[in-house]
Amino acid sequence: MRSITVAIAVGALLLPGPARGQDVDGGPSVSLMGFGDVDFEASDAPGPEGFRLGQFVGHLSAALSDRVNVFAEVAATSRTDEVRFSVERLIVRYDLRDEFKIGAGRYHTPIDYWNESYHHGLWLQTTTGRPQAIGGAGVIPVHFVGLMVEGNVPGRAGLGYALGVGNGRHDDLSLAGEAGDINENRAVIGELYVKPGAARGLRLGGALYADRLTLGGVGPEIDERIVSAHVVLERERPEVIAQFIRFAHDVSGVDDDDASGEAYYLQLAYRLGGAVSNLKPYARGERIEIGVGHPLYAQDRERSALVGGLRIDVSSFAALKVEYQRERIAREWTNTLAMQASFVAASFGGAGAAAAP
Amino acid sequence: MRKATLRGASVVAAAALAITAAAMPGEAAELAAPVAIVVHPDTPVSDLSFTELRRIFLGEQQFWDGSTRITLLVRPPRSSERAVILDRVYEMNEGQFRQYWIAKLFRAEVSSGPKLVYSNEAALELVAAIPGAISFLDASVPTRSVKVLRIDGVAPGERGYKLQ
Repeated sequence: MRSITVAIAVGALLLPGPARGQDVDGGPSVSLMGFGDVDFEASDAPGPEGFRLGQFVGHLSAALSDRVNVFAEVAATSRTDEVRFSVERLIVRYDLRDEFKIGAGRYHTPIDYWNESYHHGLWLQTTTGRPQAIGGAGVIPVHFVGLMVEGNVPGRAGLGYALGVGNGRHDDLSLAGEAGDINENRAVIGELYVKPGAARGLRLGGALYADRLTLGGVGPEIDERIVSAHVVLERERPEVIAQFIRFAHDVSGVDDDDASGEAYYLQLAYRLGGAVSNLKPYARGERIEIGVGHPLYAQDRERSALVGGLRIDVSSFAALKVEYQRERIAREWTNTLAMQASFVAASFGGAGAAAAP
Repeated sequence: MRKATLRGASVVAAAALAITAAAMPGEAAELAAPVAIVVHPDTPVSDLSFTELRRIFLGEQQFWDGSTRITLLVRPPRSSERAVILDRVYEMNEGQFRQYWIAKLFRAEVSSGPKLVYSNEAALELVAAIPGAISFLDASVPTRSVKVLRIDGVAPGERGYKLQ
């Protein structure tokens, strides 16, 4: 029943509704986008190879009034034997002014630049996939259900912040606490960044996250602390994304000073010029190191990967990516050739003149 | 673990050094006709720094003086005024401009992109009618119904004006 309900919600997101501009019927200004990808993979790692459907993601933004905005994101993800629907984000936000916006809902946790900026928007990101720290390794909580205050301070420094309090992780650590916290300790997140006006595209920032985990819903209880820093150049010539994450977990009643770990990655890309300006070669190096006594991730203590590829923008809204990945997990090296066709279809709502950029 | 911390920190530091030079804005080629930045007559500013103008056009400043929401009106592709704004203010081509606004929407930083206006006359009419509106048009068009902004203290047509 839940799948049917969400499927209807996906359909509602994708159909052009009557409220497509305040000039027509006085309804909200609505923008709709759909992201999708189809992938091919050949690898010497265990597991299925060949073609597979990626995700189809419907994204809605609506200005319900001058101050009240709604953002929603629904994903359809193909699995081996089914297509799974999920509400990835749902945010209601009141914008008082640039310095103060308050919202509630399900967010992409602002603890990692990649998690906040790309997540399921595969066409937006240069590479075919996420860094390991944001993907299967599960070392950061990728979703956050709760209250968020955010804003930015006009000025040359381009100072911005986000402060949130929410449910923290579910007893299954890959999930957020969708329907309530599993314990009495709320998670808190704080992010600070600068985007200096004199250097277009440059962003430097960091974040702190704290929560108490209750494994299996009954214990043991583990205090989780994550700190991160990033330096990013949101440009094409070059694109630079550098992220560092340190996480520590303290099990109640256990004296273990090696229950911590680190993840970091550096991605470089460069858009070529002239007749080949649709080409963007890229490379990424990444590593995760986890302490011997870590209570959650000790089974995969070291992971690293080197990724190199070429993004070919076949139109303004579609890209083909060809990528080689050399990955090391649990002391085993694997090699993978990945190809991905990704796209975005966007329809921007508007008031007055109404249209798209 | 301490070695790993140093390696992680050095990755971030090296990236910071590597991109500092690349992030500095370059000199753009001189374009022809000046483009005027116009706002609703009640807007409480007459002069913007180039940095402030860029923040507004990038959607990073969304309110005037903390109260009135800014409505950004842009000309469609292939208009000469848009070409000047993309080159001088955004430092982007058409594809990058589209990707930029799709990313802003995806990140929930804005609830809608800029609105299109198909002529200088339409831009004038809408800027005069919508409180908080800002747009750009050919500086030779008469602009009695709206306010023309100085950029870094320089008016359109004056020596040193950046949007031409």
